[in-house]
Amino acid sequence: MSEVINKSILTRKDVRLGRPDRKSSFNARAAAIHQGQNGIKSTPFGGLMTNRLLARLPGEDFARLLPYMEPVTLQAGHYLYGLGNNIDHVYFPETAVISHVHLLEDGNTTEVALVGKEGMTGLSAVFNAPPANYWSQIIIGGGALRVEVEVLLEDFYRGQAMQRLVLNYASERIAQISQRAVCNGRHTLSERLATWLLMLHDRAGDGPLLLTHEEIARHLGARRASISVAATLLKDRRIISYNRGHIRILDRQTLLSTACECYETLARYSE
Amino acid sequence: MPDVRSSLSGNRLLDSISPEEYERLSAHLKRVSLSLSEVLFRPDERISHAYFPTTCIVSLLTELQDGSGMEVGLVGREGVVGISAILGGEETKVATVQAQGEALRIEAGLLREEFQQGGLLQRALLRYTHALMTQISQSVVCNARHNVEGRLARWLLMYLDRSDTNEFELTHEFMANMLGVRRPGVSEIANRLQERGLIRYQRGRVTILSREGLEALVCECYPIVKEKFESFLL
Repeated sequence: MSEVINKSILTRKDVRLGRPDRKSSFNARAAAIHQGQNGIKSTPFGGLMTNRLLARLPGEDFARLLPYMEPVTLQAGHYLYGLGNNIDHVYFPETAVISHVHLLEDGNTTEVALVGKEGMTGLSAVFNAPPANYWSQIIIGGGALRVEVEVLLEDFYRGQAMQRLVLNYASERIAQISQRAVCNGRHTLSERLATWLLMLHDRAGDGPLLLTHEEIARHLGARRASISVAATLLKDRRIISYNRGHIRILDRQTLLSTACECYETLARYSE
Repeated sequence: MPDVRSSLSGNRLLDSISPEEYERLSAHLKRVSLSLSEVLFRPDERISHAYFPTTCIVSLLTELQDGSGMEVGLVGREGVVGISAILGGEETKVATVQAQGEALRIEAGLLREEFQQGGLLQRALLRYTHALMTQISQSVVCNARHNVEGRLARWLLMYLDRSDTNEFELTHEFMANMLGVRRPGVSEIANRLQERGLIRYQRGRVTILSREGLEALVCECYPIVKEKFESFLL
């Protein structure tokens, strides 16, 4: 594992332009992240089928895929794929939520997309592209169905329903990241925090969200102190409760009015 | 005869497909001249055509309700504008010509049919889609984390990679959208690069004076995205 990671860091270094080396914090963070990759457990199928992509597959296509689907439980804080790793499975989340996290040279991170029951992970493998340059972190633990990339590719290249679904999802993913790009450029941190909590709520349901301020900061690409200020404000207005790293959304209506317009746009893709 | 073909098409993505595929496709391709600020499509419009730029550069912008927006992607001779023609789904961005020039235009439905034939065209379009996703993703990171000079340097280098000249028209409005700042702030930011001797900026016209200088200033997002496009940009 560490060999793969070192290689990917070298590759990145090769294309870096002449600048002082700030790699040590990047490497330290990369190493810390890669200690936690055992969070994927094969699990009995609980009878759920809430993943929107799978639920939309015509019966015949679904039946062909079914023998290859493995139900798994994903544990929060762990990673599905690391930077530069080859992708061997695609995951269709049911109750789990995956966050695509970019790691910067200075060791800071920023989330680019959330993937829940509306989507799938592993598009770069399906699109025959080089491995993605982000980590796929399990942000909310829960269930997912996974399929080996080879199996999915075979179905994808039939050019039938699976291909249409995956392409359509890719189009939604592009819409999602485009919106988040403009959001990060134009909106305040408290608006962005509200939007982000709503997006998690849509995917994870009413349970508590296990997130420290530090973790939220890593996803939103902000400083922890700024997140604390914004989160405390939401807590004082009784929009969320916050207890030892457990966040609950108490007043979704008011949270909606705190969020920027981006939530409305982004929510279209998680229905 | 790849050499003849590449000089005919001028678009790197099309140059990567097989001669047979290009032959079939070229019957549907029409060379068009696109002028500065021409809008190719807007959100929620049904895409009628896709464009393979040969000498023009097209900006992809996400708009907000108040009319402000932010550029999230740039497409030149390495790619195609109107990828949603193939993916299906709604287009959510505004595509505006940012450097006038030519493109090869194809009806969206015809491109979709060709895509469904599989082959190298399908692979190239999928790989390009992923590279475009990387470019937009990096804008998410960049807009959250990087300073405005580094971001300006990034867009200027992206331009340079897609162009044969080191001089472009860059209106205040466009620069404001590129950087996510208000229009009055644009001149000051451009001046900072000008004072370092990296660019000349006069009356909406940028001349790049030092590529090395911009590369020293640019944020890490530039090499990361460039690597993903390398197979198309070479």
